[in-house]
Amino acid sequence: MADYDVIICGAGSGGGFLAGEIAPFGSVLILDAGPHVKGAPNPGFGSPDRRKFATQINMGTYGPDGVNAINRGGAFFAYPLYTDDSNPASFAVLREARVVGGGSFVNVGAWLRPLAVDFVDFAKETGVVGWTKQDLEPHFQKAERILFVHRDHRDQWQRASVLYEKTALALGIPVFETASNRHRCIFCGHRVDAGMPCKYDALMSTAITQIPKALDNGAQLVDNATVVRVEISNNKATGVTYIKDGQTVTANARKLVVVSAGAIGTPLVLRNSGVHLINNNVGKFLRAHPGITMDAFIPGVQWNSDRGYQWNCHHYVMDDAGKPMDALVHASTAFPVTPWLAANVGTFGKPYKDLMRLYPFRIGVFVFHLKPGFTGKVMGSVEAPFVRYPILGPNGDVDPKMLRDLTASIRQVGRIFQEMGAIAVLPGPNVADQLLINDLALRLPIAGVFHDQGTCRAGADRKTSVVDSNCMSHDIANLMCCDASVIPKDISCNSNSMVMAVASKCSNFVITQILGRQLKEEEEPANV
Amino acid sequence: MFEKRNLRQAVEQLEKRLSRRTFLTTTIIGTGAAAVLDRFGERLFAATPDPFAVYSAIGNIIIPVDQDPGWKTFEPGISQFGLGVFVKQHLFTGDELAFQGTLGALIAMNEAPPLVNYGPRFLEMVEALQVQYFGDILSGQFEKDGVQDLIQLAAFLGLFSAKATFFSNFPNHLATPGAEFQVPRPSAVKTGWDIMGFKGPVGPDEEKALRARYFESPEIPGIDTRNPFL
Repeated sequence: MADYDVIICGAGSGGGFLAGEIAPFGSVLILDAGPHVKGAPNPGFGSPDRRKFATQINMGTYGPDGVNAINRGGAFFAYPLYTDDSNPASFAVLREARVVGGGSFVNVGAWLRPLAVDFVDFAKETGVVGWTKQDLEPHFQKAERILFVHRDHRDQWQRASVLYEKTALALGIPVFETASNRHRCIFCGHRVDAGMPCKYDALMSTAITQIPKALDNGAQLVDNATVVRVEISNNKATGVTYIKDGQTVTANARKLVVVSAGAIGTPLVLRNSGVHLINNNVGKFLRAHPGITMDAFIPGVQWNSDRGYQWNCHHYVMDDAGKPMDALVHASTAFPVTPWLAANVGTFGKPYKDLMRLYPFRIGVFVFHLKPGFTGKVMGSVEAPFVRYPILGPNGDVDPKMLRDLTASIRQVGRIFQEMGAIAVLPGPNVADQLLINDLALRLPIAGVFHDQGTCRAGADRKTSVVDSNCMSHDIANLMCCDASVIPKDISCNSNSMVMAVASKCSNFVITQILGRQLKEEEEPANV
Repeated sequence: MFEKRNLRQAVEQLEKRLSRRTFLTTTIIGTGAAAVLDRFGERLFAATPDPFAVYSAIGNIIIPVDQDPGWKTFEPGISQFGLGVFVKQHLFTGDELAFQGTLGALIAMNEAPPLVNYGPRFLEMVEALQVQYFGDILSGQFEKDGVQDLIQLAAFLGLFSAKATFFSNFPNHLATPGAEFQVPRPSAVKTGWDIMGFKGPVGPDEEKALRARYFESPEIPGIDTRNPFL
C-alpha cells in the first residue's frame, strides 16, 4: 500500500492550486475523477493531446450509457448541462467538471473578486477568523500573479461592450472592467461559443499552471479515479480508498487528507466517509448563483463578435438608492448557445428565424443572482447524489427574492439596451411582473445554476460549520476541505478567485503546521 | 415504437424527468399530466398516429421554410434524430419509460383538439391553425379544458429539441475522432448556425492570423481597482 504525506482528492481550482504550492515540501498524491490530458503547457498554442481532447468533448452531456451527445466525442465531462439520472432535484446543473483542472479548466475565465461586504459576512455568519479582506488580499494577489490575471486592452474590446459601458455609465450605473485569467488568448470562440475547453492553453487553469508545477516537484497524479471514501480510524483520517479501472485501491496519508472535490463532490465524499453522522452540517447551506441570459438586437452595426466571446465589463444592478443589488451583469456579445436554448424559449416560427438572421446584431448579457433567499442541500452519496438547489423552497415554491432581484435586473438591463437602440429585447423589460416571473421560471432551469459553494463551510463553531478557520475538520483529525465548499457565506462573484485564495491560505497552513516546513520566499509565477 | 402499455407510468416518468430540468410541472403550471390520462382515457390515443409525424409537424411550425431552409428541408431523418437522439439520449439519458411518455404526449397533442372542441386533430389542421394551436398551448390556453398539463409537455419538448437539433448541424454533427482541427464538412443545407452567420471552428490559417492580431496586444495587469464595492 502506497504512503504519502498528503493525499488530495480533486485537482480543480482548490486541490490543484494547493498541490502546486505544497508539492515542493512533501510527498503528494493527487486523485481526480476525470482525465489528465498530458503535454507541456503552451499558452496560445496548446499541446497536441489537449487540442484533440478539447474538440472531442461530449458537449455538456454525461449519461450512464456514455453515448448521448449532440456533439459526440471521445471524452466527456459534466458541463454545463448535467443530465444525471441519479440527481432527481437537478435540472441544468453545473455540478462538477470531471477533468484535471476542474472548474478552472472549463470556466469562462472571468476573474472577479468578492465584494468587501462578503468578507464581513463571513465572520458574521460563522465566526470564522482570518478571512477578512486584508487577511486574504496577499493570497488573491498571489493567485493573480500565477494565473496572469489581466484586463484586455480597450482596442481589443468588443464594440458592443464599449457601447454597453458608455450607455450604462450615462444612466448612472457604475461599470467595471472585467479581468480574466487568460494568457495569449486568440479569441477563437471555441471555449464558450462552442462550449468546449480551451484548446490553446490560453485559459490559465490549474491544469496549465499549478498541477504541472506539482508534478515537476514529484507529486503523483492518478486520473479517472473515483474517490469512494476517506479512511478514518479513531477520528483521524488515515488514507483514501478510490476506484481506478475497476480496481479498488487504498492509499495511506501519513499527515493529511484533503477533500477538494467541489461544493457538491466534497460533501458527498464526506457522507460516504460517515462524517455527516458526526457533523450534521455536511452538505447543508448550499448556496449558488442562478443565472439567466438577456438578448438585444440592435441593427446598424455588426459587432466584432465573429470569433471571440469576451466578457469585457460588468456591473451590479443598482437600486433606487444607488446601492448594488444582489445581481451581477456580464456584458457580452457572442454566445451562440442562447439562440437555441435560453434566449427564445417561447419564440417559434418566423419571429424565431428572423432573430436568427439578426444574430450578427445581437448583444447579450449574463445575469447572476448572487444571494438567493433559499438554501440548498447536498444529500445522498458519491454513487447516488441528490442535490436540492437554492431555487426551490421546501414546498416547491420558487424563491421570491430571486424572482424579485432578477425582475429588477431585466428592467435595468432592458433600459440600457433600449438606450442603445435595441429593436428587440428578450426577455422584454416592459412586460407585467407576473409574465416576467413566468418567463424567468422557464429560463432559469435552462440557463443554469452556477457557482455552488458553502456545503462544508468554515466557521468557529462546529455547530454551524464543518471545518475550522484553517479548513481543517472540526471533528476528524488530519482532514481538510479545500474548495468552494468551505466558503462561509455567499460571495458576489464566481468562486474561482475565492477558491484559489483559500487554497493559497490553506497551503501556508499545510506547509508550516502539517508538514513542519518553512515558507519559501515568494516564488516566481509558474513557468508557462 | 409507441406502446400503450404502462402509459400512465410512462407519463409520470416523463413528468418527473421534465420537472427535474424545468420545474414547470411542479411549480408554475402544476402537476397533472398523468391525471389527464385518467380524465380522458383511451380517447386521447384513439387514432394512434405516428408520434414522429406529430413531432415532424411541430418542427415545421417552429422552424418553417422561408428564404432559408427549415425543418422540412432536412426531412427525412431530422425528426428521428431530434426525438431519438436529442430527447431520449440527450435529455433523458436513455430513459425508455420517459421516452414512451413523450411519445404518448405527442399523440395526445394530436388528438386533443376535437376532444376539447378546439378543432380538428393537429395533423389535420391547416398550417395557420396549427401555428395558433401551438401558440395557445405554450401560453397555457388549455387549462380550463383539463388537458394542458399533458399536451404542454409535447409542445415544450418539441420547441426545445427542434431548435437544438436544427442547431446541431444535422447530419454533420459528429466530431471527427482524433482530429486536431474540427473543420466540419460543408453542410448540404444551411442549418441554424449558418443562418445566424456563425463561422464554425477556426482552421490552421486563421489561427495564425489571430495570433498575429492578438499576441502583440498589451495586457493590463490585475483587476479593476476602481470598483468601490471591492
